Amino acid sequence: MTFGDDDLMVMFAAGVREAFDMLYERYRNRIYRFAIACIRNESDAEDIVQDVFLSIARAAELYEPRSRFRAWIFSITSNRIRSWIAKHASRQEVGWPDDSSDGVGKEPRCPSPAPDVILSRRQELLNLLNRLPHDQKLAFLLRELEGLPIEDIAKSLDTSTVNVRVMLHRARRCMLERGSSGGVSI
Amino acid sequence: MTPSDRIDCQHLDEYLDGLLDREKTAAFLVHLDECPECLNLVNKLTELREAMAEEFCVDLQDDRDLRIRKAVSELRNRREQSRDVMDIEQLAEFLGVSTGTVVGMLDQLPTFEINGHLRFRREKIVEWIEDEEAKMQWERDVSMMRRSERNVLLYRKPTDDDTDKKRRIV
Repeated sequence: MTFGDDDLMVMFAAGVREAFDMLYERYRNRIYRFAIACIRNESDAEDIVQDVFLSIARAAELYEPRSRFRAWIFSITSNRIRSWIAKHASRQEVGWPDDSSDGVGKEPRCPSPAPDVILSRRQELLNLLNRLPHDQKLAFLLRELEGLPIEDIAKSLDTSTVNVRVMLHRARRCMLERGSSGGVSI
Repeated sequence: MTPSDRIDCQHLDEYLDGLLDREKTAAFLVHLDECPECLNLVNKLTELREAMAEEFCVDLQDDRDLRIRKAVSELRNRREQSRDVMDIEQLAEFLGVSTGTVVGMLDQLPTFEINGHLRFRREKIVEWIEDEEAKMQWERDVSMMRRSERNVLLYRKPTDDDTDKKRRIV
């Protein structure tokens, strides 16, 4: 019998250690990849993975079976990533735009690549991804890399589903239409 | 695209967000066949997803994985040790004795029963330990006091009465 994530979390909260091990197996690399995609720093992404799972182990008793585990774990991860960004923003280590908005209030500023620099298609793409406003980037990766439904993304980012849809629309327009205008050929 | 079409380019985001029901999704797929602009964007997004999946296809390093497992395991051990209510095995671990020893001491330990299962409240056990410590300390004090009283009796200086008694015996 295969248990769902929510069942496993309820079992772990009741003291079944193996349930946590199964959740860890399911999510460790997903969380790691998501963190790497967001912050592009392997060592700090590993710290975030550790922090996320320790938080889950600490807060197990507070878990409400009604809340979806997947939305919960990505919510914890997104918060850790936001903290990381806030800590490193002044050092310009992530290439985030100088933008403290939630990614909805302003139009995205999609940079045009320098014409004299020929980058590989993938590198160009990743540069564009890196320059999305940070919550747009989180929403975009939660949808397109992790495949989360809109409702779970809204829970993960603690915002409304309408905001998520606006952020996704703008991120896609930035990532895809820029390509069609000659900036990036995807 | 005709005005009568219910599904058009405006629905692209809803399609990509997975918000269209089965019927509308089918209608949008028909629209995709007829609309090169939407098809182009959907194809690019598919390519982008594949590129991201490949670019970020990294696994946690084994040594880091082990460290995370260990950190989580230690945290859980600490939490289990500090549980408010313990069963016999957890109490034995808490006290550092065997479960047999705990079973042999059941009449002395503060305990309660839930549906036939014996449980121990941590704070009551701590109080019991403190009482035991106080009792042992009292017994040590009394024992030391008695020893010192005996020593006083054994080594006290002879009095004049003692000397008179000796003389009379002689």
